[in-house]
Amino acid sequence: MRILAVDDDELIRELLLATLEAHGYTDVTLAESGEDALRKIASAGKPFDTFMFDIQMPGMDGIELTQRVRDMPDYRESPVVMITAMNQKDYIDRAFLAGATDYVTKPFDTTELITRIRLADKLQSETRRATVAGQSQRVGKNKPAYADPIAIEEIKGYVSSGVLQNYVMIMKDQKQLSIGAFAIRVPELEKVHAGSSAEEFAYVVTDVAEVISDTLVGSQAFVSYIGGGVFLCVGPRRMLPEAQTIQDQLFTMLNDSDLVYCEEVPTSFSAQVGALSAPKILERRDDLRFLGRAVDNLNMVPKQRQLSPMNSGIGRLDIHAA
Amino acid sequence: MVQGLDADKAAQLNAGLARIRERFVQSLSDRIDAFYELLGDLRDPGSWQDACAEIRASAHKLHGICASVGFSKIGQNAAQVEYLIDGLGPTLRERDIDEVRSLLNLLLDEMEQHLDAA
Repeated sequence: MRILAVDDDELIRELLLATLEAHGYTDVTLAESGEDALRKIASAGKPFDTFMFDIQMPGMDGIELTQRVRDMPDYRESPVVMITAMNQKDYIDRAFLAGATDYVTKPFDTTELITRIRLADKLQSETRRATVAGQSQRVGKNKPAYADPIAIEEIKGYVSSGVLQNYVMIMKDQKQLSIGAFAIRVPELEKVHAGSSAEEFAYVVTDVAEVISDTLVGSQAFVSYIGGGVFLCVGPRRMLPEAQTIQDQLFTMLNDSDLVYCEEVPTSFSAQVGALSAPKILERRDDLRFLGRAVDNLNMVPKQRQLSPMNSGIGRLDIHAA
Repeated sequence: MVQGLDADKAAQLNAGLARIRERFVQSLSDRIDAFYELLGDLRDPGSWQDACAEIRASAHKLHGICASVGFSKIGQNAAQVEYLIDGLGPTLRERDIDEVRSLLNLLLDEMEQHLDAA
């Protein structure tokens, strides 16, 4: 695995190098600033596999560097692990919004660092597999099962399921226990999946994800599609809108054909919003059961009555009392 | 024994960490001198903003590295200085600077103890 590690502190660079090399990661390039990193990326003969960025550096900071790297076609999905002493929620959110996939706080111990690099390695392998599968699905070679997640790109606040879990673990590390999770199911996606190509289905899911993300603007929430027509949302509990509000907005926006359009399967859309779930104080950092509970809460939402295109403008929404 | 490493690799890592620790100790004297210079700058209200920014940047670096090379207490004191300055308003007052001075002196005491022991 080719790693580019960027930190303005020489001792931290040496510490990273010593730790990585001892654990078998011998192809490591070091950079002392964001600008130096961009030069090294541009001149790299072979692309890097994983990045490790400090946040606070003179000149270009690690968050801007992450955005610049994400704009490069070769690195849209590469793991970017932030390694920083900035442990405030605001920095963590900004890093993930910029495209970071994980976050390690300094001072770090070497075991923790290597665990996160291995996770990044695993995430990279999974992403590559999903990308290859997605490409073959989009050209019609094989269609993903309805229950499977699909890759969605370039929506603000949207992250893959693996990155969402990393974000939650960091929040728990930082004792940010005021986060909550809830799930949204769009049942009509099943019909879209059954009646459309893989490519069309991916477009519709992307449209729906964008609508959900727009609905949550200002709430500092992250969204992920986990398959089966279900989207998982995580954010600070006090900032998340009421379930009723979300459902009302989703109903309007999902049925605006400028926002969500399915050419192959004419349908109206509805949304079920599950009750909020929160981590428990004594749960370990890697105990993510509250995300599962958020999805389980969807099962308590009454089944949606199917809306026909004829009455979709005034369709009924089932509201789940959280 | 470092977790997850065979003896050779663990020895390699420990040797690397020892070298970094030694370099950190060697750097302490310069870091202390720089802090004293900044403490001097705090006497002039016209220099408060710049001096606090520099103190914060240096404290932030110490906070990031110290515990990893075995100097947790210096790192904790440095983090206190960093967080104090982060929490100051846009207009600095004499009382703010007194607090910065006070925490910076605690940090310097800790650094000097380690330098003396080295």
